[in-house]
Amino acid sequence: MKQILQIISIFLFVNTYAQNANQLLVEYHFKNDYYNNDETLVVKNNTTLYTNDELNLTNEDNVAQDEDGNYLIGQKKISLKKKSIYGNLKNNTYSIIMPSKKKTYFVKDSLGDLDWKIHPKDTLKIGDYLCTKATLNFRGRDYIAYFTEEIPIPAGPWKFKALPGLILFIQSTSGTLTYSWQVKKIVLPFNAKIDLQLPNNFNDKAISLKEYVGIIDEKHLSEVKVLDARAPKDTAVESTKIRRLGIELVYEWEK
Amino acid sequence: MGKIAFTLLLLISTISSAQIKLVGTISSKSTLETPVTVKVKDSLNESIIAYTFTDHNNKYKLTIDKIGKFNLVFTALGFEKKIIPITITKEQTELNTNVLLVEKSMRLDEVVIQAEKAIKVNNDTIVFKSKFFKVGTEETVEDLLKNIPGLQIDNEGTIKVGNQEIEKLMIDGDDFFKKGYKVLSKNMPAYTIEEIEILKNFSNNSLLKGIEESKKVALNLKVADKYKRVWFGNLEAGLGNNNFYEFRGNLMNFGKKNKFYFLTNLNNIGYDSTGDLQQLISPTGNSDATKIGNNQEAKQLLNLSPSTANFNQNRTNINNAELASLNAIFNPTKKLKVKTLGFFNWDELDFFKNNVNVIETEGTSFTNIENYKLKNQKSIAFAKLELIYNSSKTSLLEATTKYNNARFNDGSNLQFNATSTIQDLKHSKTLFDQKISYTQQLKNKKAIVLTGRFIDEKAPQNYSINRFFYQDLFPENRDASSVAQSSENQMQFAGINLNFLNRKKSNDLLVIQLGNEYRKDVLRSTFSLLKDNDVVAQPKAYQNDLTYLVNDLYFKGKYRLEYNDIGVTGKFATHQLFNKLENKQFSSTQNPFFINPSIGLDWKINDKNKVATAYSYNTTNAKILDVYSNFVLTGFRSFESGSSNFNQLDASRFNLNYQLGNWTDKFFAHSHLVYIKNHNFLSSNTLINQNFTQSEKILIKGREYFNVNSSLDYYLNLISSNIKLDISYSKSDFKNVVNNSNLREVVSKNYNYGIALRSGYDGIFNYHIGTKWTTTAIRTTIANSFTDNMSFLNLSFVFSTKFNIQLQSERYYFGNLTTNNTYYFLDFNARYKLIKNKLSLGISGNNLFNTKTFRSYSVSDIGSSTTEYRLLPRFLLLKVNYRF
Repeated sequence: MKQILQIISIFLFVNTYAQNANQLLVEYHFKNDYYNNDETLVVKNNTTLYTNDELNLTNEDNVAQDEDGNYLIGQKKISLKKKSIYGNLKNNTYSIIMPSKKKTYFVKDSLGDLDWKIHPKDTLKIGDYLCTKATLNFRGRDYIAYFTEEIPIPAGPWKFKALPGLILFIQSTSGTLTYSWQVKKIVLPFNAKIDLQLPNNFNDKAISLKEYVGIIDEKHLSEVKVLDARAPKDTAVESTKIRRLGIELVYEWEK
Repeated sequence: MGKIAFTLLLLISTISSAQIKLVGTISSKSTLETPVTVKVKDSLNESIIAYTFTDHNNKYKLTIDKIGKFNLVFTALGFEKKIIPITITKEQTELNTNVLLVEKSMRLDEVVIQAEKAIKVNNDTIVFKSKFFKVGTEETVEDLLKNIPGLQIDNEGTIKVGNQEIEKLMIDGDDFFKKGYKVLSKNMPAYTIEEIEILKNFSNNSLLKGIEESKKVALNLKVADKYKRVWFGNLEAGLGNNNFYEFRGNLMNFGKKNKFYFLTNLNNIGYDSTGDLQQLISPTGNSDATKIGNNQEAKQLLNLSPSTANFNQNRTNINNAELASLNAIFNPTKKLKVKTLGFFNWDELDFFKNNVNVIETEGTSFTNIENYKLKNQKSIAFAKLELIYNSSKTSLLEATTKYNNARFNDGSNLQFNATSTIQDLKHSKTLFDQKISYTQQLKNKKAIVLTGRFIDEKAPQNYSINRFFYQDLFPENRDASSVAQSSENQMQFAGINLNFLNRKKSNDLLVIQLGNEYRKDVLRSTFSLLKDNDVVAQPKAYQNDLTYLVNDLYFKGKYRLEYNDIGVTGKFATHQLFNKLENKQFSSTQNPFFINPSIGLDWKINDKNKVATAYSYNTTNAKILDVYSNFVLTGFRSFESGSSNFNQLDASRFNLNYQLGNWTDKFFAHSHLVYIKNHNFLSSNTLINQNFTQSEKILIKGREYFNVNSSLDYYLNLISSNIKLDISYSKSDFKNVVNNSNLREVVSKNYNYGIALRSGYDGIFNYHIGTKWTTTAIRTTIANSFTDNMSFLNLSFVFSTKFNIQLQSERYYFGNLTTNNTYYFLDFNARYKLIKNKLSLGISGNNLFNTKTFRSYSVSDIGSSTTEYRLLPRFLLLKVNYRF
């Protein structure tokens, strides 16, 4: 019995070692109009995990004093919690752990096929890698991406994937706010032990993306109502509209 | 069924005859879990024609519709690339290629990327290419700005970046409007704009950007070359019953080198259009390093302007205003900018009020009844020339010249205790103001600013009353029948200021100022008693001829330190004054020296709790109206005099601000507390007589003022409405002398409490309802107090984006009036947008209940007073707004 265990453990060791040889780490620099942050993609075989660094921004100029000596205090900190996107390169579903201020949401998202258009003549050298341009319309935004065939893995930042090579740069080109991801660092083999397995209880707690979006939209609407209801006397509110400003603007079920 | 499917399949495959299916299975010696990319590439230029990935069973399927020679390329991370040349002919329908991949480890290094972007962010400037943000329906700049991330435009057109209103909206770096930018954003067509820049931490002086403390934001619009020199603007005309009318027009043109803006406003509906101009005349930006001489003006002794206390002036001012303004900016060379501004304003104002003053104090008690009819005429001509010269990238020279000439002709027909009295006041103001400033940017975020300013202002007044009420004051001249006073107030200011700013590496800011300010005031007043237009006497104690010179040599410093969530700001100002008082008989001097320190602390305890507090000790030097020695007439029954001495007044001030929650939270509250202790201050010694009061300033120790106000907001989900509570309390305590009494204490207290409820419905209808009580109590030897109440109900109906109606109603209640103590007002406004952003029609109704008069009640330390105002009658105005 002891012998068998030993054999198994040796076997396991070899196996993990072999797998880590192909474990890839890609760091992306994420940027929008308000902040930038580092985000990390780990790929092992067909499983992926995409996470962002926790971000705590400090706004240094948050206290002002007006001529009457009154203090005006603005928001000093922007904080962003770690979000994890678990994916599989062989299908189009993502399992997302989305912590918010009060509650952590477990969200299942299944995208359709990403309808990439490759522009073989448009190439760009990013670092030492020759990249090819590809364009995409995804959930209400147009994107320009550059991928390299020299790293043959159909992965990329956030939910972007399914190009014949790693996406090294992608930027939105339409809609309010601009989002971009650009590669900062690639490590292969990436030898750290990373747990790419979805937490066990995920599926019990999971809601669909549609449900999640419904919750968030409702939350924003109620926040705006608070502001409307706090408008000063004799100011009229003519209309209130909620416009999404996130990466995703329109969802499949809304079309 | 199966047959049909089969036939269909056959049919499809024959139609798309050029299509070929590439299929296969991929295997390797080890387990192949990673997806394999399968690409069809052109055999010559290597470009990708089609690609796919293997499925869970490591199979692939790919369709292409081309024929010829290709390479089938198999790649996977950790495996060697495999290329298999294939030839596809017309006849083929399927090609099966199975491959075996061989493992090959790969090592990768860091990469760096640089790419082009649609939005550029350079430090504090965010540039938006407007083509990316145009939806297609936007007409005006305001519509376009609504699409820009981070910008919020409210219904009034106020533009905010986050929660902060912008400082100005510039066109190609030039600005006409300062905070009056709505004229521009609501009229300029959107298609002309190429780029929008958000300028954060904006400094009016571009060379101080990133050095001086600035929380300001501004917008700059870049006009596309081909749309420069387009004329645009708007016209708004309103016509109502009883000849009520309103006309506004704005016209502008922004060329490459020259920019023009014309503005006009004519109305008789009580609207004071000079408010629109204030931003053009004296631009804000008091925190600027070039601030010097900003509050220097010649003080006037008298005015007959209408006063309406806490009431909407639009309801009482019966006016007829005409205003025209012409503005231009020229850029003759890249380094030089010339700005000119000129306007002319003419206004005639009628105002009616009846006063009943009940005086009950120290050994006297009487009632005065005054019926006022006031007619004010004014004409103002103003011109400003600004030169801005950028001699190099690090130096800037600015010169501003202002000239203002204002003439006022005020007359009042007064029934004073049933005696008909005519007051006549002719006065003028002539101002010349020259300012030059030079900014030099030094290395390592340091800068110096040298500013010089010269102001000359004259404000002569000629005042006459066709009655003589002062027999008790001038017993020798009991037979006089009228009085007159002519006065001359002149002010000259010259100042120079050197400002040194140093933004440290730690981001702490050090500001040091060294300067000298000189001010000369001349006060000459001649008071005459007349009989049949002949001067019978000029009592000596009622004539002034005084020159007051103040030279202030100062050195100021400011430093701000930050540590985690705590910030400390320390300031000091050292003043060496040289004061001189001169009149014909004597001349005296005084050279006081003092330091004004202050310290402030702000602390963000956590996300929900924020505290800021400050303490300062301040010494101020007396002004001309504090130091003159003989009496002047300041109203038809009041004489005043200064303290005839130099004075420096000391005060301590403490304030505390506490905020709980954030503005967007369901619950939000904040409190503000101020305590001011005047260690010494100028009070008054007043002689009260039914026909006149005579008051002189006296120096007293100890005045206290305390104020605390709190507001609390809570949003109730259940009714989608916000409930707001306001509570404030203030108390002031000082001493004065009335009718040769001993020093008597005057304590006044003020309580305000209000509650309001406002809905946040997203449907057609919304409401805002509230009520507020104000209690004022004054205690001297006797006590007076009263409580007033004001309530309002506003209803809003937004039927569509084209049509909306707003109703506003108010109720005033005066607790101490026994009759006519309740007043109701109803106004409405309806707007219909006929052509979006082009033509809209509107109708507004004011004072629909046609309330003719309005009475209010007030108390003071010597009695109480009831005032009745005559109001603008009910009127309806039909409006057309056309944008071109």
